[in-house]
Amino acid sequence: MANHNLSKTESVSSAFQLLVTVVDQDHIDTDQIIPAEFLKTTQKQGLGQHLFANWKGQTDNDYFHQLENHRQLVQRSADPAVAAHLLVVGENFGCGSSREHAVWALMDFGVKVIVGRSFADIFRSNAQKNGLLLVTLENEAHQALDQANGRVVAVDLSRQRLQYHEQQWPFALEPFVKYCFIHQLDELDYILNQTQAIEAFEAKRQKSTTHSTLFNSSGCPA
Amino acid sequence: MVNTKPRTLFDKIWDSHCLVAQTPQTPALIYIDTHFIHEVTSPQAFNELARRKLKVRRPERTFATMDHATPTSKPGADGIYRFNGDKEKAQVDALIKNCTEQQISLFALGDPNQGIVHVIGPEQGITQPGQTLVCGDSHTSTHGAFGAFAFGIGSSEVAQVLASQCLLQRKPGNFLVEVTGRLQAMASAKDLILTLINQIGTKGATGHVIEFRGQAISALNMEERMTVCNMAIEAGARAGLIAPDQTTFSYLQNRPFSPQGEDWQAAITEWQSLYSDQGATFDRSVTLDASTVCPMITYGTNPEHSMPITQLIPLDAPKPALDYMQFSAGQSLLGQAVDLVFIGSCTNGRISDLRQVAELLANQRVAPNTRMLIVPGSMQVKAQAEREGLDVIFIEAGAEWRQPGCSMCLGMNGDLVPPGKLCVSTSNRNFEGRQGPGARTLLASPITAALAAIAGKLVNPHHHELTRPAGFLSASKMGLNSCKHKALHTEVSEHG
Repeated sequence: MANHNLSKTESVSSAFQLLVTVVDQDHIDTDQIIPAEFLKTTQKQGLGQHLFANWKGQTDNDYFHQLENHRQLVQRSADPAVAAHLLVVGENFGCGSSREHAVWALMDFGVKVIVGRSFADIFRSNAQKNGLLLVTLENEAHQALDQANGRVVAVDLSRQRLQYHEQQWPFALEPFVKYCFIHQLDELDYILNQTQAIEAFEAKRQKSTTHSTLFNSSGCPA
Repeated sequence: MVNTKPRTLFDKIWDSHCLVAQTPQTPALIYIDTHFIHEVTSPQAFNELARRKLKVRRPERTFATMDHATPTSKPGADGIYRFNGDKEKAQVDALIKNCTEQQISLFALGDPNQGIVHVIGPEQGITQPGQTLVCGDSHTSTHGAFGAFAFGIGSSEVAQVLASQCLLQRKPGNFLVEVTGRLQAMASAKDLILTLINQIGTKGATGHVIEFRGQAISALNMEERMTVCNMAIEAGARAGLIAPDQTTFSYLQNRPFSPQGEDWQAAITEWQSLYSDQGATFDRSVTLDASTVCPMITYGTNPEHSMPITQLIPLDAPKPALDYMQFSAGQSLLGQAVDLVFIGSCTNGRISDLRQVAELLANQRVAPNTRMLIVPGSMQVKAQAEREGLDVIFIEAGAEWRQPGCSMCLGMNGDLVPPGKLCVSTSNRNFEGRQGPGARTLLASPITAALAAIAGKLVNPHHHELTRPAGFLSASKMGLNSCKHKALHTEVSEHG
């Protein structure tokens, strides 16, 4: 890793076996993932039980029941290797609100990886901050995973590939995202390690005539 | 470093705020000028700072308000606000405690400047051209109307900004939306942005910052520009922005936080350099003719499911969305009875929106089968509306005139659309259950919504009969058939 600011911490295991739930819908928005009534918490924990809460009452929505069945399967499973979930979703997953609660709910539920055709920007950013791995797959690769409901899939982060049945599916990963995941890099620490650069920037600003960044002299309502 | 390559407006703002350049392995580190916070996405961020024993780096650049879970009912005679529940109050109490401890300006309930974060920022002159501006709320894109790079972030990033005044970012692409022509009578900025979202889709601008420009954009006032930029996020954009001009400067002059005196002149000079250079390249572009924009209505469960209100629901509309909404492909929505009308939100809760509604409600009554809520975007908007007597018009028409807040946009404060009920809303999202479990949302402009409230059903704004002339809605400006039915997904106007 070229950048000297990336401090190496202990690497974590980057290979997982996950139980797949296929939620093959496009544009699953953050109001579906975690409805607004559950955003009234001041904590991050405990949101897994409210994941996709609005789907619970929908008689024609099978996904909620699938997820619940799989959650119980993993909990009761004698196989310690399969301790978490992988969701297969459509395009534009996580669109809508910036609520990071969506990521917290997914992870609290036990989702470790989401395979989708595409992801919304803010959701992607929030996922990265929490170590929720987003894998973009299209066409044949996505179709294959679409058939994997209820099966176990192996995800190897370092090698950037998914294994299902006898087939391996490679996936792209942004180098920084990969690095953060494998080395459990704390982003805030990483930023604060650059405090000198921040101070230099602020000092330069003070001296310049960049008025648009200054409020009126009292900094208060006139 | 001399930059000779033509740059877009966004490129210029990025370059001037980039402390550490992006590499293939690492994102850039960018400085954040202005940070807005509210009660829903900040508690976890402050907890994180406390856990790490960190202080807020720039409290003077941090501004807080309470808006999402706050009541829109008046306080009691005792001055106490009645929250919907203990959790809502707890969030607000946490914000008060955190702002006090970290010395952050807080526009609290009872403050004459309190309101929805994306309404008060510009109102106070805190939002300024050329800034980088963030908030733990996706509709932060609103502030891009001032030529700022303004975007929504999650709580972890809120903590990062609080602690360092910086964020890690990979630079998004540039997406140009050129809007030619001019909005016709009865068609609003809201209809314009709904039309764009319909054309490019809810992921159309993912990974990009949209710059809106063109004759039709220049003709918009600041509140209309805010409506447009507000919903850039619904097209998947990272942010949306409009280059500042005289309209922007006139709006900002003499606002509480705007530069004063000599600083004002210097600010204008600097702000005038904020535009895309001739020859600057955009990664994507789309052209839209505002003259062909019609009053729109959504029929489904995301903002791209929209059409001119006079059209029939497309035959290829997604079935699950229609099933949820209890509509059918090929159906007309004109004449559809409406249970609620919600005027408000960071999209359309400003004074110009309320004036439009008042002009239509004057000497009219809200239909007996319809409940109408009018929620001003801020205490300042409320005060202005009352100075103009708009509240009297609203109340005499039978609408509810409320205190400011996000209210029914997402129902966090108890202002909910009951299950199964149909609400025409001037807000920005029609996701399933957004306004309450089982709620059915139709997004529309304030004009379309107000006319629906009076009729008790969806009506074609072009057929509206005015009881009095004058004002921008005057009959002389209304051209019949100015709205041609257009096929979806065409990018270029067919005007000969």
